[in-house]
Amino acid sequence: MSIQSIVQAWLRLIETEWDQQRQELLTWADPGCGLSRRHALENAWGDMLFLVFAVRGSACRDDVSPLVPLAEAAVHEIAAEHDGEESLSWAPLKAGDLVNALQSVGCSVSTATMQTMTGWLPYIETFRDDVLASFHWKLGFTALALGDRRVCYRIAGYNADGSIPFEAGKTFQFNVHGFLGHLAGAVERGARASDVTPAWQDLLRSFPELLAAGAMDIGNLLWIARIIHHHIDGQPLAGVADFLHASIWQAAGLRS
Amino acid sequence: MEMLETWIAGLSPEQRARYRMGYAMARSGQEPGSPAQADARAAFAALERRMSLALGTDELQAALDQLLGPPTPEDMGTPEGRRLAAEIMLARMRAKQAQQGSLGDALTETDETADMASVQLMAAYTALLHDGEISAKDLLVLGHLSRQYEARYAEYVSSVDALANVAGMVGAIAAGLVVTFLSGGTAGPLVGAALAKWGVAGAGAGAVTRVGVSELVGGKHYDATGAEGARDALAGAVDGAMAVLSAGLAARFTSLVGLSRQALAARLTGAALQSTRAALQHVGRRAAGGMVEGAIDGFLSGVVGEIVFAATDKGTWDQGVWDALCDIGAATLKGGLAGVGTGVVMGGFGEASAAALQVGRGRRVISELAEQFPGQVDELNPTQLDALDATRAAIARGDTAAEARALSELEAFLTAGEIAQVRRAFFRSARAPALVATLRGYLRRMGVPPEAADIEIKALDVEEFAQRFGSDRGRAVLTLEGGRRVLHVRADIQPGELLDEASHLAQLQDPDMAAQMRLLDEMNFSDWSSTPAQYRLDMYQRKLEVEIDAQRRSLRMLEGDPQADRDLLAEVQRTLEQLEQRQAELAAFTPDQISLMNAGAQPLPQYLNEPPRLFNKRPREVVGRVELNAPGNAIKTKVDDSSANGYPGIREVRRIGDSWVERTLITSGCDGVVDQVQRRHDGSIITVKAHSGRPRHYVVEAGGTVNVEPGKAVSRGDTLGRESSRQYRLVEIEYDGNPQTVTREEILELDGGQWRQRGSESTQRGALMEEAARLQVDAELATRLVQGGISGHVRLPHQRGGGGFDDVIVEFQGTGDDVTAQIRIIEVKDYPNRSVPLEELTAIRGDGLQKNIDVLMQSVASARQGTPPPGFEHLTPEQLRAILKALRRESGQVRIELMLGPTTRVGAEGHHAATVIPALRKDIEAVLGYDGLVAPSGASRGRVAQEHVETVIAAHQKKEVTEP
Repeated sequence: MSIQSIVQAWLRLIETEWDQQRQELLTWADPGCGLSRRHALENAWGDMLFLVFAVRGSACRDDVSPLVPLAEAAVHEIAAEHDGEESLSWAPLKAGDLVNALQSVGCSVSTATMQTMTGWLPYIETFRDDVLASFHWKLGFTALALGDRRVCYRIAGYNADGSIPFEAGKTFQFNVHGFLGHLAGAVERGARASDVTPAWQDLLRSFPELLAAGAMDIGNLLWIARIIHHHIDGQPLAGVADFLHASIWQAAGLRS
Repeated sequence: MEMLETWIAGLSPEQRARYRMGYAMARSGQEPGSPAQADARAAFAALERRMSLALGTDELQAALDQLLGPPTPEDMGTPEGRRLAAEIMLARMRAKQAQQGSLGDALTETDETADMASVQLMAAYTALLHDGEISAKDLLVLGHLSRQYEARYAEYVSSVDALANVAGMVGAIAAGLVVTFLSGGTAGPLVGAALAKWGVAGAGAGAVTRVGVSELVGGKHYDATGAEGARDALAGAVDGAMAVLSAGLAARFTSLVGLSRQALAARLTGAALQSTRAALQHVGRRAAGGMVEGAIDGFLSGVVGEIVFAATDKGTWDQGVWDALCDIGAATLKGGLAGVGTGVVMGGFGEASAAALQVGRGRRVISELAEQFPGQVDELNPTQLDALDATRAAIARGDTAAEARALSELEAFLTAGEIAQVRRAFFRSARAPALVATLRGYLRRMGVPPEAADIEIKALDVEEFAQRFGSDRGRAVLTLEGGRRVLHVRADIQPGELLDEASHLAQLQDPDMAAQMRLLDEMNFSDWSSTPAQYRLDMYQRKLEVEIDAQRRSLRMLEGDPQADRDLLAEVQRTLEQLEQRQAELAAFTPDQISLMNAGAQPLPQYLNEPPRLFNKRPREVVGRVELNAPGNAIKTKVDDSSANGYPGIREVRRIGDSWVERTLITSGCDGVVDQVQRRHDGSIITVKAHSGRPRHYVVEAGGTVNVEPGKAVSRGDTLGRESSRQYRLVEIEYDGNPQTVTREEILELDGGQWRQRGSESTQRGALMEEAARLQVDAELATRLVQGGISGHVRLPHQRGGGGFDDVIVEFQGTGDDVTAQIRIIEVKDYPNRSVPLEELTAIRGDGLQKNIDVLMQSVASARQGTPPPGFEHLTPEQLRAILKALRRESGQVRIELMLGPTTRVGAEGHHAATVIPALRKDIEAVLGYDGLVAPSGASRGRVAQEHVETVIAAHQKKEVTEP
C-alpha cells in the first residue's frame, strides 16, 4: 500500500467512471430531481468527486461548477433545519467539503454561504474515537481554514486563549492530532510554507494507511492544502486544487 | 336539565355566593338587612320559579344541590359565612325531608335510615348553635352529618325510583295483555301472531300505564308532567312493546334494591291491577262495558291461578325469592291470557298472592335451616320467618347491602354465632349453586365445558374466602388442588366479574394466552415499588392484552345469546372500550417520557403503582386523561464517572433523578421438565426438555437469578430466571459554548467502573442472538441463491465501537457491469418478555445511522482506492460501485431490518407517532430520504426462530464445556 498505488487507482477510476459520474452529478444538481438538496449533497459527496479535484485540479472547474448552486442550497437547507441551539452531527461538514473543493478550483461561492458554514462550527459534535475519526479532524482543519480559532484549538487540544508551540520542519507520520496542532501553530506564528512542507509531505506518504483507518479522506487533504497554500503561503484560493495535485504527484514520485 | 347543569357549572364564585345568600334568606324567612341581601333573595326566587316550571321534583333538588354547592372558603373564614353555610345545610335537609313519605315509602326501609341521619344533623345543629356562633370545626361536623344525610337520601330516592320502575313494568305487561285481549275478544289468540300484530298498540298502552303507575307509587319523586315523565313515557312505550313481545323481565327485577320481599310482591300485583285499569281508559278503543268487565275478570283469575301455581311449585321456589318474582312476572303473562279464555273469577288478588308467598317462605326457610337448628325452626313466628326470608333473598341475589340490613334484623332473636350459621346455610343453599351453575353455563357457551377443561368451581361465602385467601385478593382465586384447577368464587361476586372469570378460564385453554397469564405471576411483581417504569408498562400492557382478550370472549358469547342480559352486554362493551383506550394510552408514552419515568424525574401514572394482577376487580379506571402521581424528582447531580466525562468540549455531565435497575424475565417457551442448569462464569444456561423430547435452551446473564432446578415441571410462560443486574441512569451533557444540552440514557458497565451510553454495550445473550439471526439469514440467502432470486451475496464486516450495525448483507443481482446491489442492514434485539426501548436502537437511527452509513461508504471508498478494509478484499470494482450506488439516498436499495428475539416486544405502529416503530421509521426516513425500515410483524416476520437460537446456544454450551 503506497501513495503511488493510490494515485494509480484514482486514475483508473477517473478514466472508467468520471463521465457517468458527471452525468449523475448534473442530475442531482437539478433542484427538480426529486431529492432534497441535503440528500442530493449526500449522494454527490463521495470519493469520485473529490479525487477529480485532486487528480485534475482547476482543469475540472467547468465540469463541477454546476454543483455550486447545489452546495449553496444544501447549506441553506441545513441552516433552515438548525434552530441555532442544538448540536449538529458531522453531516454538515460534507457541505463544507464540497464548498471548499469548488473554491479550490476557482468557483465562486457567496459570502452568505461561507458565513453560514462558519457559524455552524461551534455546534458540530465529533468524537476522537469515532471509527471515522476523519470527521473529527475535518472539523479541526475546517475551523482553522475558516478562522474559528476556538473550535480548531479545542480539537487540537489547546486553550483558545493560549498559544501553540511550533517547531518548523517537524513531521508527524500518522499523528493527525499533532499535525493539526502544527498547522494551527504555523498560522498563529505566521510561519512560512516551507516550515510545514516536511509535515505535509510526510502526511501524504502516510495517507494510504490513514485512509484505510478512517482517519483521513480526500476532502481533508483539500482543507489542508487550502491552509498551507492559501493561508500560510498567501497564494490564491483558486489554485489550491492544483497545489494539492502537485503535492500528491510529488509525494508519489510521479510526473504531473 | 343538561343545559341547566352546564349553566350552573359556569357560574362565577360571586354569582354562586349571591344565590347561596338568596337561598338562605328565602328559606329562613328573614327580612333582608341590606340591598345586597334583597337583591340576592330576589335573584334566587326568580331562578327557583323558572327551575320549578322546567324540572321534576328530584331534578329540582339535584339542581339546587349543584347550584348551592358546598360551603366556600370565604364562608369558612367568617362567623357570618359559617352561619350561612349551616343554615343552607339545614334548609336543604328539610326540603328533602318534605319529599319523603309518599306511597312508595311503605315499601322501602331506606327512608328510615335517612330519617335517622336527619335527626343526627338536626340535633348537632341545635347543640352547636347554642351560643349563637358556629366555629370552623363545628361547621365541619355539620358538613359530615349533612353529607351522611345526603347519602341516605340518595339511597332512598334510588329505592323509590326502582320500585316505581318495577311497578310500571308490571303495569306495562298488563296493559299489553289487555290490548291484546281487546283486539281478539274473549276467544282471541293467546300468544304468537296476535301479540306480534298488536305490538305497536301494546307499546302505546304501555307508555300510558307506566307513567300512571309510576306516579302512584313514586309520589312526589315522580313527576308525570315534567321531563322525567316525558322520558319515561318513551321508555314505557318501549317497555310495553317489549313486555308484550318478550318475557325479558328478569334483568329488570334484579336491579331492585332495599325492598322487603313481602311488600314488593304485594305492591307488584297491586300495581298490575291499577295499571290495567289505567290502560283500559287510554287504549283508545271502546268496548261494551259488560264484555270488558268479564274479560278483566277472566284476566285476573288467570293471573292469580298462575301465582298460586308458582308459589306452590318447589322447582320454582328453589330458584330463590328473586327468581320466583321473575317467575310471577312471567306467570302474569301466561295466566292473563289463559284466564281470559276460562273466565273464572277468583277473590282478592293481593291477599291471594300474599298468602301464597307466605306458604312458600315458611317451607323454604324451615327446610334449609332444619339441619343447622334442629328442633328450633318449628318455633319461628311469622315475623322471624319474614326476617329470615329477607336474609335469604338478599344472599341469593348477592346483594351485600340488603344482606347486611337483613342480618341486622336477625339480631332481635339470634346470637351472633347463629347469624353466621344462618348466613352460611343460606349461602350454600341459595347462592352457591346458582353461582356455580351460571359459571358453568358461561364456560359451555364459550366452548370450554368445565368437565373437559378439568375445572372445579367452588363458591365460598365472604368469610370462608377471606380466611383462605385473605381479604384483598378480589372475588375469585384459581388454585391447583391435586393437579386439578379449582376456581373459588366469593359470595359477593358480581355478574360481570363472574363472566370475567369464565373468560379467564377459557383463556387458560389457549396456549398463547395461558403463557401471557403465567407471566403475570405474583413472583414477577416482587419489589414492585422499586421496579422501573419500562418494566411496569410492559407488565401492565400484558395484563391489558389478557383482559381485552377476556372481554372479547365475553362479548362474543353474549352477542351470540339472544337471551343475554343486555345490561351485562353493555357493561362488557364499555369495559372493553375502556381497556382499549387505556392500551392506546400506554402505547402513546414516548421513549423520552419512559426514560424520565425510569429516572423518577417524571411521575408515573397512578395505575402503575399497583402490580397488574389478573383475577382482580374489573377495571373501572377513568379513561381519557392519564392521572399522574405527584411531581417526580428531577434533581440534577454532577457526575464524573460517565464515558462522556473528559471528552474535549464537554463541560459537565449531570445525572437526572435516580439510577434504576431493569428487570428481565426469562420464561419457558414450552411445557416440559427442567433438564439441566449449567452455571457458567458468563451466566447460566437452562435446558428444558419439552414433552416432545426436544431440548430448549434459555440464557440467564451473569448476575441473574435462576428460579428452577433440574426435575421441575414447567409450563409455557413459567418464569425460569430473572435478571436484575444492569443499572441505568439518565444524564444531561453540557458542552462548552453551547447552551443546548444533550440527554441520554447510560448503562453501568458490568465491572461497575464506568457508565456508558445505552445501546453501546454488548451482552452474552445479545451476541448469541446475533449469531442465531445470522444463521437464519444465511439459510434464507442460500434458498434465494438456489432459486435464482439473487446472483450472489456478501456479508460486510461493520464495526463502529459498540454502536455499529449487527449485520450487513449485500445481495447482488446480475453480473459484470450490470450488477446491482441491495443492502440489508440487520439490527438484532433480544429482551426476553420486554419491550425494546428506542434508546437501544442507536445504530439504526439519527446520528448513529448516519455515521454507520458513512462508515460503510468510507469502507467502500477505501476499497475502491486500493486500500480495502478486511472483508472487502474480494469484491470486484463493479460490485463496489454497485454498493456505492445502493448507498445513495434516492436508490431505495438500503433496507434496515429489525429482528427480535422470540419473546421480545416492540412498540407497535398505529397508536402514536412517537412510539418505537413510528419514531424509528421517521428517523430512518430523515437519513435515507425514503422509508427503509422493515419492521417486525406477526409471529415470524422479523423474528429470530427458536430453532436457530437452539443451535447457537447448544454449540456455545458445548464449547464452554470442552474449553473450560
